[in-house]
Amino acid sequence: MRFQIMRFQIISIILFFSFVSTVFSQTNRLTVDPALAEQGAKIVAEQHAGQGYSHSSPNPNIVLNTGVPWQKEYLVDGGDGIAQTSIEEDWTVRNLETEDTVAHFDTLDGRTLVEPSNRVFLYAPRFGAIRKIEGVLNNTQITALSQTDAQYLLNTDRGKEQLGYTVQETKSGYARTRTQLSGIGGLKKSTGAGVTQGLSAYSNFESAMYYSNLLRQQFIGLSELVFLTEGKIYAKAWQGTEGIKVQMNILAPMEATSEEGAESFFQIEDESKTSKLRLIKTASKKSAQPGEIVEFTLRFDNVGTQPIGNVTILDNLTTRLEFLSGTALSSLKSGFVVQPNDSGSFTLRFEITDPLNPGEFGVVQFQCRVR
Amino acid sequence: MMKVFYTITAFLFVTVLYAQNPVAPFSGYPVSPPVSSLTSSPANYRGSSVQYYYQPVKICGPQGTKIALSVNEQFVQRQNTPYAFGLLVGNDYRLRITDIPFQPGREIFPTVKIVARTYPPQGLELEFPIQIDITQEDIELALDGKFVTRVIYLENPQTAMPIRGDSGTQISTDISRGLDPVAVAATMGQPMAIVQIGGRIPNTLGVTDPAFFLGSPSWIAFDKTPSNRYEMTRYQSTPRQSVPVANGKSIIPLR
Repeated sequence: MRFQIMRFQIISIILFFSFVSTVFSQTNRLTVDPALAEQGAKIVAEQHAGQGYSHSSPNPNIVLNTGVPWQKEYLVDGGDGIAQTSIEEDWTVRNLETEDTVAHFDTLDGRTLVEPSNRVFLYAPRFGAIRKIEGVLNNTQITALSQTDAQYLLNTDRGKEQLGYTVQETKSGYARTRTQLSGIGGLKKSTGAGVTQGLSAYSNFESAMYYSNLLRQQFIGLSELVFLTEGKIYAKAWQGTEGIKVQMNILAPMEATSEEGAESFFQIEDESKTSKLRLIKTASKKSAQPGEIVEFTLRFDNVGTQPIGNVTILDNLTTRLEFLSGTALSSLKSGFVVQPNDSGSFTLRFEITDPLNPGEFGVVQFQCRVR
Repeated sequence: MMKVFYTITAFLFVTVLYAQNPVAPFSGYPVSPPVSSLTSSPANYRGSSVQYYYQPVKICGPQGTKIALSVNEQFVQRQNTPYAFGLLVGNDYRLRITDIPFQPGREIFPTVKIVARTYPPQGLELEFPIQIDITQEDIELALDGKFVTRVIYLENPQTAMPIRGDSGTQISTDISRGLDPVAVAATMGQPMAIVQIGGRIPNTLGVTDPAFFLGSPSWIAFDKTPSNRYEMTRYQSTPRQSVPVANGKSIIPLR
C-alpha cells in the first residue's frame, strides 16, 4: 500500500513537471519567429549535411517588414531576396532575383558558399499617370440632369454629338505592364560569353561618400556614427508614429527603448578553420532624381581563417538602375561581364582572378543612372 | 395649335440662351462624375498620420500658364507653372488655370484630390513633391467638352517600366472608358492624387455657387527665395458665420 502511494506521488510529480515544461515550451514557441526558425533550421541542416553549397550566414532580409508605406519610394539594391541564391556544381546560379547582390566563393574543402551584401536604400520616387478621357454623352450622368440647376441644364450642348462619337477620341489602351520577376536561371559562370573585359586598377576610395572609414580601414569612424544615428532616428520615427502595431488581449502595448551602449567587449579567438567572406555595399547618394548618376561601391573581405578562391560578385540591378558602360573599376585583377537581365536592366559579374588570403580585401565600383 | 406654339416658343428660348453663351464647355456635367469607389472612404487613405499633413505637390502646365487656388471662395495669387503647393491629404481643391497657350481668354477649373502622402527623408520634402502634369492636350480636350481624369501614382520600383524617366517628364498611360483609373493605378503602384479636368465652370451670370470652391481648404504656397530656400505661406479660409432669420432659423450668407 505504501509503495503504491509513493508511486502515485512520483507519477504526480512527473506529470506536474511535464505540464510545466509543456507550458514553457509553448511559451517559447510563441516568441520565436517561425520564418526565422525555419530559415535557421534549414541553414544548420545544410551545413551539417556538408552539401556543396549553402549560405554562410542567415539571410538578413527575412525579417524585412513588407507593406510599410514608404517602401515604394525607395530603390533597393543589395542583399538576397526571398528565394536564396545558390550555386550548383556546374556553376549554374539559381534564384538570383532582381535587386540581389551576392558573392560566391570556393573553400579549400571544396564547398561553394554564397554571401549576400547589405541592402542599399536610395530615395528616388517616380510618379506616373493614368489618363481617362470621357465624352459628355458617354456617361450615365446625363440621366441625372434633372437634379441640377436649370441654368446648367439650359446650357447643355446635348444633341451636338452622336452616341459613340467619342470612341475614336479615346486612344486604344496600350498599358505596358510587367510582373515582378522571380529571378533568372541558367546563368552559368562565363568564361567567354558576354562582354568580358579587364578592369583598370582602382585604389581611390575617396568618392565613396558614406562609410568611407568602413571601406578603407574596416572600422566605423565618428563621421559614420552621424549617419548611423540619423538612420536610427528615422527607423524609430517610422516605427513609432503610425499607430499601434501589436495588441494582445486587453493589455495595452508597452514601449521600451534603451539607449545604453555595451559596457564590456570580449574578443574570442577561434582557432578553428573557417571560410567566410564579408560583402559591404554603399551608394554615393541617399536620394536621387530621375536622370541622376549614383556610384555604388562594393568591398569584400576574407574574414575567415583560410584562403578562398574564385571570388565572384553578382549584382542583379533593379529595373530603374541603368548601368553606365565603362564605369566599372576593381582594385584587384578581375574579369567583368555585363549581361542584360529579364527586368530590363543588367546583371554585373565581377570575377576576382587570384585567391583571397585571410585578412585581404578588394573593392569594386560602378555607376548607374537612375531611370 | 397652342401646343405647337408653345413648342416653337420653348425651342426659340433655348436657342437664344445657347447663342448668348459663347463658351459653354463641360456643361453636360453638373458635377464631376465619380472617379472610383476606391477613394470614397477615408479608411482607404494610408494611415492616420496623413490627416493634417500638407503634402508638397508640384503642378506642371504648358509653358506660360498660370495657376491659382482659392481662399474664402475666391481665387488668389496666380502663379506661373510649375509651382509647388502644400495640399492637405483627403481634401478636394479647385484650381484655376489661365493664360493657356493658343487659347486666349479661356480658362479651366480642374479639381485635385490628394489621397496619400510621401515619406521623404527629413529636409527633402520639397525636393521630391508629387508631380502632376497637366498637358496642353488635356486642356484642349476639356475646352472641347471632354472630361479628363488623371490619377497620379507612385510607381512600384519592383514592377517599374524599364524606361528612362528624366526629370520634368511623366510617364502617362491612357486607358479606355470602361476601366476604373484608380484601380488601374493601384496595379502600377500607389495612387497619390486624382485630377479631374473639365466639368463645372463658375456661374458667370451672378453669384458663384460656394460649393464650386469645394470649401476652399487651407493650403501652403512654397516660394523659392534668392538664397535657394523656400518660404512657406499658409492660406486658410475664415469660417462663415450663420445669420439668424425669422422663425428661429438661420442661414449662412454668401461672401
